Amino acid sequence: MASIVSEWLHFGPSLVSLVSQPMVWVYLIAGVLLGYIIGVIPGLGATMGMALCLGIIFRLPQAQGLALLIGILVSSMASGGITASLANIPGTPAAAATVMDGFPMAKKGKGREACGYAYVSSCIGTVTAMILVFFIQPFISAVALKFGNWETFLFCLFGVILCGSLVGGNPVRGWVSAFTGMFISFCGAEQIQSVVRYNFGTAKLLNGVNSTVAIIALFGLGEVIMTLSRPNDIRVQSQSGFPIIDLKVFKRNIKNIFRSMLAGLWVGFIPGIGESAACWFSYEIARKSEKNGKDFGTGVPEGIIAAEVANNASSVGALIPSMALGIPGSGSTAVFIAALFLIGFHPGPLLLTDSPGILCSLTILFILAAIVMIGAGYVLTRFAIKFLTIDENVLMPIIVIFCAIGSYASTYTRFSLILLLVFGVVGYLMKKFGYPVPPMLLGLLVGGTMDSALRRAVIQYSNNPVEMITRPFGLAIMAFLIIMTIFSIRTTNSTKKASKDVAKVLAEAGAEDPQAE
Amino acid sequence: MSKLKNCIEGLVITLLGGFFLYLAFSVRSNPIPYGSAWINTLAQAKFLPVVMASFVTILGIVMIVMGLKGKMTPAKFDKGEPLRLLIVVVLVAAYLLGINYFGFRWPTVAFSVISAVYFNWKKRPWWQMLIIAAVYIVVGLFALPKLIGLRLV
Repeated sequence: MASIVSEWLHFGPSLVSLVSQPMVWVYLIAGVLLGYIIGVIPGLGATMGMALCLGIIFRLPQAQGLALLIGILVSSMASGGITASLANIPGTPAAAATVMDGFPMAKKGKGREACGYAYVSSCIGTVTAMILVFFIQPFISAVALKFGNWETFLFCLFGVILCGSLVGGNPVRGWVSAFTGMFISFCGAEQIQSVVRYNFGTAKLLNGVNSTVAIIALFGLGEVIMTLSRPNDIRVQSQSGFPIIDLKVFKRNIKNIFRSMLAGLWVGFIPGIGESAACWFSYEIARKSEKNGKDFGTGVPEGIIAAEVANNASSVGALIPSMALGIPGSGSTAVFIAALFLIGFHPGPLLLTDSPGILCSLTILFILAAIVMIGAGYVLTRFAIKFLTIDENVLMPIIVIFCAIGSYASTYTRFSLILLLVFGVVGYLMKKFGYPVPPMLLGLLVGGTMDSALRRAVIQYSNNPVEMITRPFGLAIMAFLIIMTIFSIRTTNSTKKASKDVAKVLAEAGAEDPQAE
Repeated sequence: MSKLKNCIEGLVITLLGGFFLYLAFSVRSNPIPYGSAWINTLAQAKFLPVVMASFVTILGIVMIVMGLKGKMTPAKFDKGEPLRLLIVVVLVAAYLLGINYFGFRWPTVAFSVISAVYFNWKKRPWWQMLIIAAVYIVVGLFALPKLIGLRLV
């Protein structure tokens, strides 16, 4: 208990330390501005934005690197709803449900109100969820400390299987993606007996595939190839301006906000589902719970608030398994974990012990990023149309150069450029043929841990393997994970049903399917 | 014929799984054996790779069956997309391989000019294309490396 309380005691010193560093503010504001633009432009998103910054952040001091990352994450999630409202296209997949009420509201001539509801709800979702995580996380980390090798293996295995089955439309493709990612992660010299696994005879692969390069390629270069090979013209159907923020509506929706935050947090906590499912899940709950549920889809603020609060709360909720176990809850947190490793943290059960104050720093930076976003979003939304209509043919080639420099900077070897090309093409093929990328990324990140954990557990219990399987903690985790699997399948089924219903309604209305994003 | 088309994706995944299996089985055994035979099998460096490769192969076969039942539809390419894709991949590959052999400077200049011209051909006047290429070069070769303190080769 004392160790749990001691984590919270770092709040004051961390706050003073972060707020008093001008460069932290500079990187936080830069992250928020960059994230806003990334979130508004369809096709880009928090994951890609953070992936492109991986080559930069590990050269920064820890606090500045975290500020940049969190700025991008928070603001790109928040600004995705603006595109959804103004152009009927979710700026990020997480804003898919926002289209339902954001766009009809904009069509009624209330585009500025829709933008205001979207991004302010996002900021509220981030702040409230982060405060809750701040109090929950030390308890979960304390439990995670009891994990042995067998439990770690089980958690990784369930995470990957769950992620493969729930992300994307087809579980078979999801599992192919997850198992391929794990297979690739085993490449190079393993940790137990230094046996070299399929390095194709080259010393450059002795350390395995660099996950930073793989992330940059899968999310960055893959998207560039996809976009440039199939150009899309965006039709903006409304005008933007300074957003209108009606506080009375938010006051009226306190219950809706709280419910959506909890829904988002829950979906985020389940490894692998991600923010895009959270927005549908919450939207459906709000539609059933609110008095004006039958008006959802016609441009009511309740729908926008439910979707936007949930997707941001979900990205915060995904931090729980990421920090406690090193298992990412979503694609964006997978990149976030990789970034934490790069700047010297080790996400996992020992994170809070090894890096005292990290939870406080994250909480403060998330809240500061949300506050900065409220101000920056107000000004930038005036120019949202300009960002929306940036020509992809101009933007994408420079992202190729960024990817090349980022990959080189993360390894200092030219071989990383070959890996970049290979994974970039793989990323394109996966997107084109409907294979979700997050399960592969999850497999890449946890594969090595899973392999070492299983083999260490087997060696540890070589005299009595039954004892390993019947460890009370392991059995409890198995039971917990099975229950979570059932819950998450039910959650995903209901969100898929909700998004299908929405697609049907939109198809009848002659609009685009937001799921297409 | 369409059913056969639907099976191609599963076939490719099965072949990929087979290749993974070949790689996994080619991993040498642990130099130091552990405990009983089955414990030693589980502790082998090749154990999980073999399991994962087997899963991919099985899933490939499942996809073939699903394709035969019409439950697996292949991706469709828009008109003109394959050619554009080929050009994009060749351009990116030439750039990245170029860096591998000649360093960053000249491949970045060439990539910037070619992509600025190709992707904006007949859409923008020539001077705008030149400005775009110049921006790519300045940002890629000077601004970004300066920002992160990186010395490009």
